[in-house]
Amino acid sequence: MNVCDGDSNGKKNGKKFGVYFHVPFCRASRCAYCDFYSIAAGRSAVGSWLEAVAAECEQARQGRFGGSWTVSSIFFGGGTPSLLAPRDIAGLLEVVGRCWNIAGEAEITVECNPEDVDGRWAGGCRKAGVNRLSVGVQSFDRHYLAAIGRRHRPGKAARAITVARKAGFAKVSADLILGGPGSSEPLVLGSVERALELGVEHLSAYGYHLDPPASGYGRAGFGPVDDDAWSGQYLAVCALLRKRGWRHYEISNWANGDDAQCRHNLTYWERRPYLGLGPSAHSYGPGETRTANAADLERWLAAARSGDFSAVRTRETLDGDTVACEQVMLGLRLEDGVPLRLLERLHGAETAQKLDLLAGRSLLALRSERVCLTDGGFLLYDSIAGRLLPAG
Amino acid sequence: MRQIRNFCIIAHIDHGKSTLADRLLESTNTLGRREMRAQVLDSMDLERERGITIKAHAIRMDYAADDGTRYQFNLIDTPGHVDFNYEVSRSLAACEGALLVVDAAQGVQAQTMSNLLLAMDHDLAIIPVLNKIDLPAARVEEVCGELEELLAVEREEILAVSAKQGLGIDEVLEAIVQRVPPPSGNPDAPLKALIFDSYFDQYRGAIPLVRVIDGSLSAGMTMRMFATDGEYEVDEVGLQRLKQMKTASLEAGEVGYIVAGIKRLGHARVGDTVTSSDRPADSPLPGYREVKPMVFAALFPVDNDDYDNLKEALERLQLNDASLTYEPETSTALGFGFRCGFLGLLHMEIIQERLQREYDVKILATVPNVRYRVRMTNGETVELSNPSRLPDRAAIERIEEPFVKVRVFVPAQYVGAIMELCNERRGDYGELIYLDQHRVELVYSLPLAEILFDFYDRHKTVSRGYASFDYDLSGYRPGDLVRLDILVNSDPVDALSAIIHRDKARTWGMRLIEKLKELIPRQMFEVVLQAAIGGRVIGREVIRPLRKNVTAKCYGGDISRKRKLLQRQREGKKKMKQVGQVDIPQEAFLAVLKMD
Ligand SMILES: Nc1nc2c(ncn2[C@@H]2O[C@H](COP(=O)(O)OP(=O)(O)OP(=O)(O)O)[C@@H](O)[C@H]2O)c(=O)[nH]1
Ligand code: SF4
Ligand SMILES: [Mg+2]
Repeated sequence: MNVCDGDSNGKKNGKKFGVYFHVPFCRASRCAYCDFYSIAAGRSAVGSWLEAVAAECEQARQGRFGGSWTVSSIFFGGGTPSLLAPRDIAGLLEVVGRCWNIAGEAEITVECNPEDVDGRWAGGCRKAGVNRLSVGVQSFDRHYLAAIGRRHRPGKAARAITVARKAGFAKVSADLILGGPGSSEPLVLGSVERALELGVEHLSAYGYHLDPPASGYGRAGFGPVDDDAWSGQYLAVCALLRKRGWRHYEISNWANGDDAQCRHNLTYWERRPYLGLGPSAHSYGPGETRTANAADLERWLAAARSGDFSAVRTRETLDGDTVACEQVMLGLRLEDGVPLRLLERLHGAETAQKLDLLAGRSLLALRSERVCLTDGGFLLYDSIAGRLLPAG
Repeated sequence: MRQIRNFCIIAHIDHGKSTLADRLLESTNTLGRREMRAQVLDSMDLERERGITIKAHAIRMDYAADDGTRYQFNLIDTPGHVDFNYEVSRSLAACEGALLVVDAAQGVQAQTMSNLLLAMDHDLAIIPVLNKIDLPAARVEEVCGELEELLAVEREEILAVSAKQGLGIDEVLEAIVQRVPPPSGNPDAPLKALIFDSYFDQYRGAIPLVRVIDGSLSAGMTMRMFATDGEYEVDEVGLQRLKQMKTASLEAGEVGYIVAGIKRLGHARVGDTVTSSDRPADSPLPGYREVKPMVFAALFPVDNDDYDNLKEALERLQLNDASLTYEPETSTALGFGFRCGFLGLLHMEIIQERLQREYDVKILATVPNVRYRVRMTNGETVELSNPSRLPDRAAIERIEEPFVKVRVFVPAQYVGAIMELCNERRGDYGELIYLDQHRVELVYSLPLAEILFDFYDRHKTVSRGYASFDYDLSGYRPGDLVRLDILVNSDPVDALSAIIHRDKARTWGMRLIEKLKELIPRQMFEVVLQAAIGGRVIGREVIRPLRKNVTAKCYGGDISRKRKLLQRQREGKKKMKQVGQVDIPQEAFLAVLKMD
């Protein structure tokens, strides 16, 4: 029952929102394909980050998210959030709890690197209130892991999942990477099978992709496989998980049952409010405003010291067209797609022709008055979204 | 009037007309030191960048002659390239004399002859000027011989100069006084002034440049245009210096401009005669022969919203370049545009550049072609400059194409190479005339279509730069011509259709679809490109569908970044042209032009 319209949802259920912490630290060296914002500083700057992020949280409480809001999900992403000690996480959850009411059933996720997950750490997190771990497995194949420049051994990832289970995490997700250098269909399917054996109930399979900020960009040996192989891998994963009865609820996310979906990430795609804390974090708040923190730890820390984050923040108020644009582009990522009515409003008489062409090529389907992409359609998501965005 | 001398400078391309004009302007102190620069009359950016004259430029000078009298000189510098020949012929009608410049190293070339003949047609006094005598390669004696032989001038008449070094310039100035007759009009007769050029000024409307033949023109009087009946009160008259200079009047024999707030551009038509409303002349001046465009291409605005701007730009440009013709055309692939006629490919290129630079309209052009004559089985004859309009095959008896008589001037040792080139181009040998023991004039009959494209470059290459050529339309002849169509997913792309000789159609078609395959990005579905001759498919290329176009990495809550990426992608798509469901980038249409 994904509803795409943030506002109406907000009204129906009272004011709910998600909180995202961006932990901008990684271990000694950065992964070659990565373009998330983080610095290879280990734990050295964690202390000042903790203080600053708490301050940013409290400011939001005074400002944009003042009033009676309920936190429906909390997500620690990065970077490498598993660099944080359980007590750090506990401290931040306390800060959030002081500011707002945290819903009883709130989903609280920490992304972790397999190497960081041991019994003590997992147990500590669980005690602190974390109820979901997202493990950066990437692959269970040693050579492939080496090729994409991950340091951990595949055994570590399996152990991390088992340890998490033992520590009492009912929700464990594995992140996999498709289409990286040297990958193949059997290899990727092998990793999916292994994850299923280990009993995860959520999988994300992201396409290996290099953008200019990534250090591997343009370097020999770091390129993805060709488009045909890439598509083959993606379609094979879709088929396998469908056979196992999983829901392909978003373009790169699968869940074993409705409850297993990542509620926090759905907040983004369903256009419900969220507060992002830390450098490079993004927020979407009341009044159709989106803000973004600069991807610059030093400047963000300085802003925190001065008590004024506006210097590192850009703000955008979305007009009606932009909202429509987002609704189409985000809705198309989801299993449930976008309402036909919305497309008709945007494209008028041309809608049918546009959709027929795509439907004729099995790129999309119409299900209960909603336009949804097929697996083949997801592979061409950018092209299709481009066609269905409102003419600007 | 006895002290007026109107003359133009004519020559083969690059023989030094504009440089000679520089020296004349300098010697008569027409321009201050600071205004002076090389080829100062080439004032258009395009002329300066390319180092050639494109527009004829008129300028007034005052010359204190050796006899102690002050003379008024009106000089018109003309372009040398064949494509701008109409500029020359228009200028001649405003003059009584011409300086015929010949490069002392290159000698008499094809346009030397054709321009000389034009000048003789207008009964102009001709002053032969041998230029570039400073060059080490100058062949003064030999070239003087050529001039005597070919142009039938007397040895004593030839002035030897170096425009670059300023040698012999005084002799040129004196010769103008002595050999160019003063204008012979009647200052007291009713006004007759010939419009020999025009341009558009944003604030003052269309501004005609005129040569007053009879009577006089001054501010305050009401003038009338013969051909169009346009009537205007004259606001200002003046003469052309580097800038315009207002004067009280323009008298019989003088050259100058008229400002009269002419808003209807058609009223300042080149070739028309201006007279006075109060005392009209009873007949107009002969005017100009109609220009016959040689090459046609359709121009479309890159941005469809620019159609009106393009239309206005063409209208204004035509005012300044009467050899340009245009009429509306609609293409299913490219939308609304104009089919334009040009005198040659350089002319076409220059017009396109001027549209973009002076009017800021970005355009897409189709492959240029000549005008065909189609004899129909029902006895009718259709003239056709848009290949996609070719009637159904069954209704056609034959297609005829324009032929030209080509005269190539070439040193004897390259005759073989030039003949080979002409034969390759479906040429018919005419005759071979020995000009002297080293040089020949080779006459061929060739399809115009064969010389338009790279003939110029090829004839230079095979003759190591020594040959030059000139051509005249000689009529139509039937040819084994076929229509080549390009189909994209079975939809014909009208803008890519061509009428072409059967022998060349297959190669052209295959290369065209190969090129398109490179340039059309993969789409969501398969794209089949086909080349068809007269409806029969002769070649096929397939652009495989895009397998994957998704970057679904989760950017956390950064929704704006993804949105902007998609919007940018869509903007890119908007710039493409749609044929059926297929997006074809503009470059694909442009690349076709660059194929040879
Ligand atoms: N050595 C030498 N070079 C000259 C002389 N006169 C002109 N040139 C050079 O010849 C080239 C062509 O000169 P232009 O004056 O532009 O020739 P043009 O006849 O006006 O050329 P178009 O208008 O394009 O037909 C330039 O590089 C000049 O510098 C001369 O007397 N001696
Ligand atoms: S992929 Fe993860 S661990 Fe690697 S550099 Fe990026 S944020 Fe750090
Ligand atoms: Mg010149």
